[in-house]
Amino acid sequence: MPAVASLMTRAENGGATPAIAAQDKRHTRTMSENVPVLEARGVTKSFGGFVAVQNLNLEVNRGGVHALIGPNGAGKTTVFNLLTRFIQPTAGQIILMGEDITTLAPEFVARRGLVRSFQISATFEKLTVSQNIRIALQRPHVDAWRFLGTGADRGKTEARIAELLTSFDLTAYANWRAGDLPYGRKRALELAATMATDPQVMLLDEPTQGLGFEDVERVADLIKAIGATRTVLMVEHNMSLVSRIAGRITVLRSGAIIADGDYATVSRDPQVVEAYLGSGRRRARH
Amino acid sequence: MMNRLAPLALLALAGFLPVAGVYPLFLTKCLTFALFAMAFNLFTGYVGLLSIGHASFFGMGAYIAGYAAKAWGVPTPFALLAGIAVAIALGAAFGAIAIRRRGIYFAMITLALAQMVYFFCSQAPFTGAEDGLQNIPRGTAFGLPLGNDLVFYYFVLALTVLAYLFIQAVIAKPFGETLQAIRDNEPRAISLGYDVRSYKLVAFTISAAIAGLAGGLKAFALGVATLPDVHWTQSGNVILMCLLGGMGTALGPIIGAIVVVLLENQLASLGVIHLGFFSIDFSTKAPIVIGIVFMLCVLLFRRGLVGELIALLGKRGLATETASRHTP
Repeated sequence: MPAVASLMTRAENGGATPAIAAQDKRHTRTMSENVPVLEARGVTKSFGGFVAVQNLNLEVNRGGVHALIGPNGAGKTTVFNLLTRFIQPTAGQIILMGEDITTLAPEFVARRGLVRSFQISATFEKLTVSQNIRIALQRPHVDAWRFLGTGADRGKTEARIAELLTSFDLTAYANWRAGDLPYGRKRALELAATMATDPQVMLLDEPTQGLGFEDVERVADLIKAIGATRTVLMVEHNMSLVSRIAGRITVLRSGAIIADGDYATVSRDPQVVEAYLGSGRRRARH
Repeated sequence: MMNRLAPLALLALAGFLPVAGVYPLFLTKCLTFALFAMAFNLFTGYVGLLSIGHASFFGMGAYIAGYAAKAWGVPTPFALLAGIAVAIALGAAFGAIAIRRRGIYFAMITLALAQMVYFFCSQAPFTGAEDGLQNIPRGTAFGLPLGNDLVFYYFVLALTVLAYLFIQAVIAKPFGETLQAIRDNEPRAISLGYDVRSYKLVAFTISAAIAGLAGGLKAFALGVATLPDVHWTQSGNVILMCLLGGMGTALGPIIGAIVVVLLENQLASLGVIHLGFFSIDFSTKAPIVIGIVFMLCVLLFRRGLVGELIALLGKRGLATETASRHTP
C-alpha cells in the first residue's frame, strides 16, 4: 500500500499527500482542539411511541477522529441521520460551526461542509470510479437550471481526480464501474468522493463493515490520515480499530449517552461494560 | 460512443427511405413516435422514475399546435412552439407535484394528473371532444410547402435529428452525469450536496417539452389531434416502445417506436385471419399481439432489443480483451 503509507507518513508529520494538502491548508490553519465544530443540543427523536434518541447532548471538537459506539439498536445511525438532517429531530437543536442547521435540508447541510457516508457502501454503481469522484468535485460548479453548462474547468477537475485516485490507491481502477469494485475498494472510493467535496466534518457510518483484514487496515489508515487534518465522526463496531485511531469516544445506549472520553476512560466505565457484556457478567462474579 | 452515433446513422439512413419507395407519411409517423419515445427515455431512462403521464404533454402539444394553426392561422413553427410552451408549463406543474415522491407513488401521481388533463380535453370546446380537432393545416415553414408529404417528412426528420442532438448534449454534460448518479443512489447524491429535486424537475420539464414537440408534429402529420393522444394508453404505448427498444439507451427508443408503429400498421392491414374454427380481426385486435410481444420482451429481453445487443457486444469485447491478455 505505498499510497496509503505515503498518506500516513505525511499526515503523521503534520502534512498530507499533495492530493489532500491543497485543500487542507485552510483546515490546518483554523484547526484547534476543544472547539466544538458540531453539536447536538437536547436532540430527541421519536418514531410513534418509540424514542430512538433521547435528549442527546453531543459535542464533536474540531480535528481528530471521534468515535460513536454502542451495542446494536443503540441509535448510532439515527444520530447520524439526525446530524446530517436526513431525518427531522422531534426536539432539540443541531449546530454546525456555530450555525443552527436544525431546519436545513440535507443537501444544504452537505454544502456547509458536513458530509456523510453510509452503513452500506454508497457509490454510484453504474458510473466509473473517475465519474464517481467527478460527480463529487463538480457539485459546487453545476446547477440543475444550467443543464447545458460544462461545470468546472475540465483540466483542473481531471488533475484533481488523478490526485485523489492516487491518494486512495484507486488509480488502477479508474475506469472500472463502481459496482464491479471489490468491497474494500468501494469503501475507499466512498472516502475519496467524500474528500472531493472538501468537507469540514466527515461522518462515517461503519466504514470497515464487511471488510477483510487487509482492507480494514487500509481504510483505518485512510481515516487516521484524514483525521490529522479534519474532523471525523465515525460509527464503528471494531473496538480494536476504535482504540487505535479515535482520540475520543462517545458511547450510546438506548438512544442516550452513557459515557464519553478517551478509550481508557470509557473502557473502564461500568455502564459501558454492562452495555457490551450484559449484567449477567456481574451477576456471575457474585 | 457507438451507442450515440448509431441513432444518427439510422436517422441519416431514414433520409433515403422515401427514395427507396417507403411511404413518407408512415415514416413521419414513425419519427414523431420515435421523438416521443426519446423524450420519455430522457426522463425515465436516465432518472429512473416511471411517468404514466407523458400522454398529457404529447396530447396537449398536439391540441395546442393544431388549434393555433387551424383557428388562429399561426405559422406552423410558431404553432409548434405554442404546443411546446404549454407542454413545458404542464411538465413543470406536474413535476413540481410528483417529484416529491418516488416509485409507485410517483407513477400514480403522474397518472392521476394525466387523467385530469384527459377529462379537461374531453370537455373543453376547442378540442372537439370525441370528434377531435380535424383538418389541421400544415401550412409552410421557412418557405417550405409542408402540405407536401415528402417535404413535411424531411422537416420532421430535421427536427428529430436536432432534438436527438439536444438530448445527447444534455446527457453528455455534467447535468446528465448527475441524473445518472441520482438514478443510481439518490441519498448519496443528496449527501454530496445535490438538490436532487431540481435535477428531476428540470429533466421532467425538458422531457415534457420534447413530448409536446412530438405531439405537435404528429398533429400536423396526420391532420388530427384526438382524445387517444392524451389518454393514459398513449403513455403505456411509449413505455412499451422504450422497453421494447431498450430503456436508457440512445438508439433503443427509436427502434422501439419503429417496431410498434410497424406492428400496428402491418397487423391492421392483415384484416381477419381464419385459423380453423377460430378467427381474429387484426384490424381491431392489434393491442393483443403487441401485448404478447411486450410480455415476451419483458420475459426474454429485459434490456430491450438494443440493450441486449449492447450487452452481447460488451461480453464479446470483454472476451476478446481477456483472450488477448492471456495470449503470449
